[in-house]
Amino acid sequence: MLRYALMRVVGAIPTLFLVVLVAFIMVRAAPGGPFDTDRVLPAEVAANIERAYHLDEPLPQQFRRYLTGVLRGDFGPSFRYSDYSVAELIRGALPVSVKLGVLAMALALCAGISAGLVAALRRNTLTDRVVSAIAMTGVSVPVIVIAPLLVLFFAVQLGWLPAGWSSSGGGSRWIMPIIALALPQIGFIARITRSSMIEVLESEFIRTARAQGLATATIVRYHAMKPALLPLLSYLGPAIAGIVTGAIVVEQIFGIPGLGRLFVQGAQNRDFTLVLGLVILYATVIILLNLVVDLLYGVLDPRVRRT
Amino acid sequence: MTTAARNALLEVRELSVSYGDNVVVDKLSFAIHASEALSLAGESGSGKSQTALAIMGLLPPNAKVSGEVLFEGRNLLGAGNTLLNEYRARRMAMVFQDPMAALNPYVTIGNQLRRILLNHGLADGAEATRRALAMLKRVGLPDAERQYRAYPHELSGGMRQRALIASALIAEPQLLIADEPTTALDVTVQAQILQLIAELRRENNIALLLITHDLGVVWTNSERLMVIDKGRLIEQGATREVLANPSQPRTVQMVTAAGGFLSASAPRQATSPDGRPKELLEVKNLTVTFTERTGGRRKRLHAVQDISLSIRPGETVAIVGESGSGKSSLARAVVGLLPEAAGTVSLLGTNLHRMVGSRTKSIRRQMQMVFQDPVASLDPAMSTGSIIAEPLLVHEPSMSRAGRERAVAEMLVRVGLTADLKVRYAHELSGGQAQRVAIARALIMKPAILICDEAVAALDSSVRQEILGLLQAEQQRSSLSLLVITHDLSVVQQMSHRVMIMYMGRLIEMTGSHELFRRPRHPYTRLLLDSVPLARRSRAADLAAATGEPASILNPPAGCVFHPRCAHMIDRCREESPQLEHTGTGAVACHRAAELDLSS
Amino acid sequence: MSGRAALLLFANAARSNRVLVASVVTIMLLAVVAIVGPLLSPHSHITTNLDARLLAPTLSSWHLFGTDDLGRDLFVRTLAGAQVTLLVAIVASAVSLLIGVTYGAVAGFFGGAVDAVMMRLVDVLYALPFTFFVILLMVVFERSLLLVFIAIGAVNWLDMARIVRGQTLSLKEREFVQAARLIGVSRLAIVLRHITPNLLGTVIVYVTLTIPQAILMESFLSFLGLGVQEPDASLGTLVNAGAGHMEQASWMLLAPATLLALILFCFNFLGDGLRDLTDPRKQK
Repeated sequence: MLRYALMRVVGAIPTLFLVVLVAFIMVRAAPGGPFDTDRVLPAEVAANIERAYHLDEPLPQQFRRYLTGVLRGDFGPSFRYSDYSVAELIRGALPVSVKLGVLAMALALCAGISAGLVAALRRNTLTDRVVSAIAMTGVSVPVIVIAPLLVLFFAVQLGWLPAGWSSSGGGSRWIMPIIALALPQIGFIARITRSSMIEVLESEFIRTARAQGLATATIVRYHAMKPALLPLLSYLGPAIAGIVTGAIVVEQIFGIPGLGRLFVQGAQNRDFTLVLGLVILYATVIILLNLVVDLLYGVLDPRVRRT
Repeated sequence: MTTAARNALLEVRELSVSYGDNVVVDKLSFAIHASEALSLAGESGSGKSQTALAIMGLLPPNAKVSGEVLFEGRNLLGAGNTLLNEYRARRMAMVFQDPMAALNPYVTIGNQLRRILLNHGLADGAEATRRALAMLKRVGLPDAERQYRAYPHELSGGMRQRALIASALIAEPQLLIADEPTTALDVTVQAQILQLIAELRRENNIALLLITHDLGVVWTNSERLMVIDKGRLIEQGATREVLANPSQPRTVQMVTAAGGFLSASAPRQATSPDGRPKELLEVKNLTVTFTERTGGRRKRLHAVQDISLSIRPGETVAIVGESGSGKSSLARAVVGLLPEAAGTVSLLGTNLHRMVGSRTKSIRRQMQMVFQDPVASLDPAMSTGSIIAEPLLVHEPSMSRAGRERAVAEMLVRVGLTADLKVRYAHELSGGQAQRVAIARALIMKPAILICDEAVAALDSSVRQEILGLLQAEQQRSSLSLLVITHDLSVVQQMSHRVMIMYMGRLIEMTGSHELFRRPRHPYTRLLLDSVPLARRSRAADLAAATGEPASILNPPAGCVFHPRCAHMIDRCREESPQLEHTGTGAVACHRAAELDLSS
Repeated sequence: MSGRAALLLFANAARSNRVLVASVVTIMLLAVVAIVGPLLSPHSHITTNLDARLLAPTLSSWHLFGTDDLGRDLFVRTLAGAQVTLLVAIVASAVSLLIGVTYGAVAGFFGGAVDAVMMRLVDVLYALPFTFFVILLMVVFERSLLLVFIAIGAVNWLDMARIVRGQTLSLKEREFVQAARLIGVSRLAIVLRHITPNLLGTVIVYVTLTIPQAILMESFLSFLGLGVQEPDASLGTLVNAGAGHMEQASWMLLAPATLLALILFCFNFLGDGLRDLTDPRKQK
């Protein structure tokens, strides 16, 4: 087990390196430098800027400089907000995004799993159909549609909730962003849970448990729950990716000053260092969380554990 | 019947089970008394398992049932879970066919047993643990403390079935329903499990309802036998009488398939005609080595180790072994489907390339193969007609379309099908029909030798007889040679002139078919023979407790690979691997072959 | 699951699975309307009319879905957006069919070292969080519809390659392929006659299942302003514009949002339905 874990951790390092390398090359391969503006700069000024950002060095040297910086948590200065370093911008926006993502993920897991279980245990009843229909809606309606529709109904028409990110704070401003972000994942998680629970309930070892005269509640809790929820683990990776990308949209629509909004602004302003830094950060988070999920699988599934 | 039924433990009255318009059990009635053993035998689809599930109240919700299932006079058919759960485990319990699927892979063996006691309120924490452990010991699990904490996949097939039996008996039921309890197991392990069930039943006065397709297993384990077909009772009586004098054709077929051969016809003698070239197929020093990956480490395993064999024209040679013996790898290596093989294969005096792809067309058509799973061996996207015609496209491209169609039609009739079957697809054929089509595809090549890899193992006993008959007829017709790979001694008995026994990749005995049954030379061969329950009746002594299961091929024992299970083991067997020694008509690989007398 | 069996199943589906049939019909209708609708309307999707800004849906001047803040007709713009969405569906399917199926079939059939190298590459590509690379791509290069397609194509074939490879590997080991080898059927003939027809069912199902992901990606990029550029329209850009004006003109949001959701619903139902049809466990 320890050996397996170690191998997986070591295996993630080349992938991370590749992420940094590819992202770096893509940015440097861009046609037109970051400081191309409508105004033509005097050659001397341009050269000064290039020197300040080390753009005059050969590419491998630039990459080495960048990589050692990244390892120390230094993503260089922002190309647009020259008073700030990329790391400072990220540090400012990180907490609100993490809070949003974690809360949405928690909601998605709680609601999705319970809905899926209820539907599976009451298969082919009205409850099952309603849950399945809602789950299909969650899967089919993208965040870019859900988020503005929530605002339209609950803020503009009914006026129950604030439309934007009121600086005065308060818990109510979190409600819609979290729901908008969680809904698609609730749909996916409920569908996976439902079909996997149904499959487990039809398996032979559940028939054995029934032949043993175990009460239905005991069978579900003791024999069916773990195998039914294990497939969800492999969906956690895509779910995390979905939440992170969804958050870009949600932060944009609700005006939340998080990483997503920073990312979109950086993208629109062609702030290369900022976007590069954020891509590396996002990629690292997703790769590491996937790694955690993989290791978790090894811990929870006895058949993986011993081989 | 009614007076007897009055004090029956379980009485089934007019039980019918149907799905839509499909009636699978049709007004079946029978009774079991306390501590009595009744066998319910039938082929697949006869409704025997449905009957068992109906008694336990485990049928799927879309099944329609009628009749009565009376346990000590109380009707349980259609009862709710609350009532049924008072009976399940504590009064009646069930053992299923496939122990791997029937045990929860995510819960340790011990906890699965414990949970039954806890749920029924029969014991609390420490007491439940103690009783679960005691039960595991009673079903003969070696090192029970360790197995208690093990997950099902860490146990061997036989150990899993023991654990499943332990879980069925832990709440001390009065009735045990065993649904094909040994079908998923190897023959030698099968015998151990049957013996275990018999012992436990005697010790605890448990009544047994044994569901099986294999009349062999009913012999030692039941007093009464009922044979059902298409949901209806066709024959019943005392087990010994029904087996000795079966009155229904279906029962006769089942008895033959179960290996009731010692009283039946004598084994075939070699009828190989003289004056023909001596050896048709010659295999020398064949070795198959796979590289297996376990936990990141590579390990080489010898699936087949240094085996030589030869077959004459018109001769049938059987290769016998349990799962993991390497018999199928041997077959695949001979025909050229395994790149991992080393050694030489020559046909009609020509040395063949290792892989079938590099052999010449004229040689390729001489050697054909029939596989175990008949449906999987036919392309699901092609019609029967095009499947049989395909060899002609390859080998006789000049043949006209009409000529091909005529040849296909003739071939269909020759294998006992009708020509109009050519438009059907594999999934529209029964298992027997599909296997006939596969044989037709092989025969249309006019091969000199046909290799049959467990070709009848997946078929019902009635169909199995027909397919074996077809193969024999073809052999008569064109002096076709057959290499028959099988685990089933009744197939050996019916088909083969000579037999080779394999164990863990090694050839351990080679002998004439007749000698095999009369005078086996290797202790493993003796064990195989003793494991066929119907054969055992000729031996006065009970089966000498055959213990253990084959070791993992990844970790073969030192010395003789069979020594850990051998009743005649001496120190030398632990250290030195015996060589195959030729003795007159056969050969045997055993240090004690000369001194042991293992004859029947 | 063979090609012929697949066709039979799809024919049977008309009777057994109404949702599936309804999805197919809706998608076809939408495609027809998206192509024909703009031709019939008197308006063009890029002509601005400052006198007719933010008009509510009306029959009188043929502004069926109303107009936007620049007075452009939303009916035509929404359908233009739907055209882009359907085009994405076609391109994504084509890419996963061409690259994914070929790549997977080659890896699966040759097996061994070829397979190991090819699949290692897919694994590495899989581990990369593509959405962010696509955004990065959009940031550094000139934005165009072509680039959107390239980006989507780059991701979309991976799933298909994996599935086709797995299927090919298992088909190759099946007895009927071994029987064909013993008969002497050539490698090429085995691929064409025995393996390809048996892949068809799986391929059809997975093409359908990858379409919604591609549509989501395009609308996501366009929503962020990184995909289709003004004055051209995509459902993503229209939803973004609608979100900005929802207080005065909710139709600007509702029309494209509803259409996008409807298309995704149809493709999801279609994929689900086809998968259930070909799943042996769900067949009677």
